[in-house]
Amino acid sequence: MRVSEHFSERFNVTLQARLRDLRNLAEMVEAFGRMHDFSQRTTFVINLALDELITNVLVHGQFEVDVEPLIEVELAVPDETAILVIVSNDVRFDPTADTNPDTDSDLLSRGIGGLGLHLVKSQASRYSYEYTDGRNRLTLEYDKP
Amino acid sequence: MGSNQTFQLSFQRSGTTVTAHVGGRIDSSNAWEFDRELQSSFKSSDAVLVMDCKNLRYISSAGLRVSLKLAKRFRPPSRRFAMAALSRDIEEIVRISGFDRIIEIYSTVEKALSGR
Repeated sequence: MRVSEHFSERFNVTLQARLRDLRNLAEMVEAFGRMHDFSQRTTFVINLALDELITNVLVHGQFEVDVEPLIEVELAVPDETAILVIVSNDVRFDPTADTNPDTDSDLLSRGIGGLGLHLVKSQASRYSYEYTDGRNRLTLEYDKP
Repeated sequence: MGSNQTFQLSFQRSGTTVTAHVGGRIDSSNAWEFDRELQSSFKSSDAVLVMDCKNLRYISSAGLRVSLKLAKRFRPPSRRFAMAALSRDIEEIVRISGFDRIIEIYSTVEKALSGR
């Protein structure tokens, strides 16, 4: 995990494809949240978003043969909104597209596919996705963090 | 930092009722381990499982998947599964997931054990 700019108005982290980086990242988000007086909920929700989205790239993401998997995370609080940007170089995948999670069926037939992304989208104030220069770029915004 | 960065799990057994005390953090990197430790701790005669989440700080969808698996294993009519003492943040994701409609949720372990 490479940290290029740490704990000023924003932080910016580049991850390689390792799930264990998630915990270091969670600690950074907690420290950043304390500096910016995030509510406990905001810190939880941002950590959940990072966990679900990064896991999604690492577990389900497909990469071109000559591409080294790379994920960039940026968190900033320019105003009364926390802005989380996750950029990954896996093949085009739009996590904002409808994932149709199963939140209704009975216990025995209940599945869990798509649930992580459903949680992330439900908890963000706004989200947007774009694919540019061979990279997936997801922006999540949280009002009054 | 670091002390709460993985999960803690301990069990209390009374007859065929098991209370699993869960603490710490369950994310996609350790949910499989959490699943394995839980599944290997039950006897086939166990009938009631209460998951005490009082010290659970964080859980992701990977951890919720484990809860769903437990709910299926301890399903009525012959068995029961309940979750107790969820933090507000965890209760919120349980609700968004729609798990509150298929899993019994209680504010305390005592209520979960008595079923009301």
